[in-house]
Amino acid sequence: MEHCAPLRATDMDFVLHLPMFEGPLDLLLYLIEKNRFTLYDLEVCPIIDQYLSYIERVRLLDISLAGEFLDMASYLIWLKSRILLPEAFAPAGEEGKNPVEELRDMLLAYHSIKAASRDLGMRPVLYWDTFPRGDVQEEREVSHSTLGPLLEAIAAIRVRTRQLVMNIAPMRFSIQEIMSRIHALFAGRKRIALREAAPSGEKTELIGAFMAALEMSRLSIVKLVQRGLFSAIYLLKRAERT
Amino acid sequence: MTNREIIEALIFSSSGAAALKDIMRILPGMSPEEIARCVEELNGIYEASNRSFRIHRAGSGYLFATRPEYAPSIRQLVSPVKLTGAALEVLAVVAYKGPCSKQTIDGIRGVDSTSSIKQLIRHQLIDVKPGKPMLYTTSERFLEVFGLTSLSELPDIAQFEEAFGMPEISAEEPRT
Repeated sequence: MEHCAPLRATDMDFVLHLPMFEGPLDLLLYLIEKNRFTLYDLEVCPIIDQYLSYIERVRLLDISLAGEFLDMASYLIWLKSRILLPEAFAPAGEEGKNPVEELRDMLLAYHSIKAASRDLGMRPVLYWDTFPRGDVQEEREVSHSTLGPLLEAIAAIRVRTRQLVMNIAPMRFSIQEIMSRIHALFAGRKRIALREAAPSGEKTELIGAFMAALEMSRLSIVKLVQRGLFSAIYLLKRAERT
Repeated sequence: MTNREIIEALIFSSSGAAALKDIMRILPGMSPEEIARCVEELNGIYEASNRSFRIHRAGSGYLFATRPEYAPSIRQLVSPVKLTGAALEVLAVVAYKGPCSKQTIDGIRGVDSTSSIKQLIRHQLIDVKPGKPMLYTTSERFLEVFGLTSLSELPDIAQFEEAFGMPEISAEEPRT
């Protein structure tokens, strides 16, 4: 059985390099390599401890962590408890696949792919290391397109049309408009109620009328009168200055 | 006018790679080996006259491409995009395990690969096979871009498995 050795790697020195890990498996591989283990002499417990302490430190630094890192953390906590208390999990004779082996398989598969991707990345690549004549990429005919770009295009159209149906409530009442309406209402009268300036009774119109009244008061065109709290507001026409 | 120069003209006038089968259709007497030999001769001429380009094998044909040492200058003109590490990983999964579903890709990488898959589709390096689930394969363009004639030219994946710092993975320890 595994024994849980003290941490061999110092934790702080890699906390600041979160983006270098493509995912939880990448971080695990880093820890394994840092501790000079291979997959075949791997002691899982110290690696689990270092993984968890890394996650904890990153969370303390308040760096948002992809959900996969946390999923892996909870899986590793379960795995460690299973390693330490094997009898609590696997009754004798009932043998599923060893979870440590499963983890090893996952790491091996990921490690191979990572190495293969590095190998791909080292190849001289067209459009980066070498360039064909002109930009043939743009000369491709529609008939050469495959399903992928088509789906991309559909997705792009969806995004565009979604933007088109966005509803923006229009501002229907301009203060200038209501001010001239109030002027008209004063024809032959000295006093009008504010509500008269907002015949539809709509909130936006009422606000517009109120703003217009305030503006006219500021310009000393009208005087605003209200007898008490929440009672009707009246506009009194001031005598025109000469 | 020789076959060699006709081959040069065909490759020169092609948008993208000139397909080997098209060259053979136009020059019915020639075998793939003879065409390869002509290309080699042409490249020899370019080398002797210090040209900045050569003819490359790409996918199922040939194309003209610049020598790598001119890349820094050209990059200033066309500002190409370099694939991210994540995208290269996805590409490796698709190249080695494809056709495969997104679930397989995510499973091997241990992270969600949506944005990398989108990036690769946009660059036309992977194709989608319709169905449920949708399956991803590398495209003809992938071969062109990575200078391969087929996926079998990629190194064996087992070679990378063995590279995990363990030379003595042996017969008594079966690998899965």
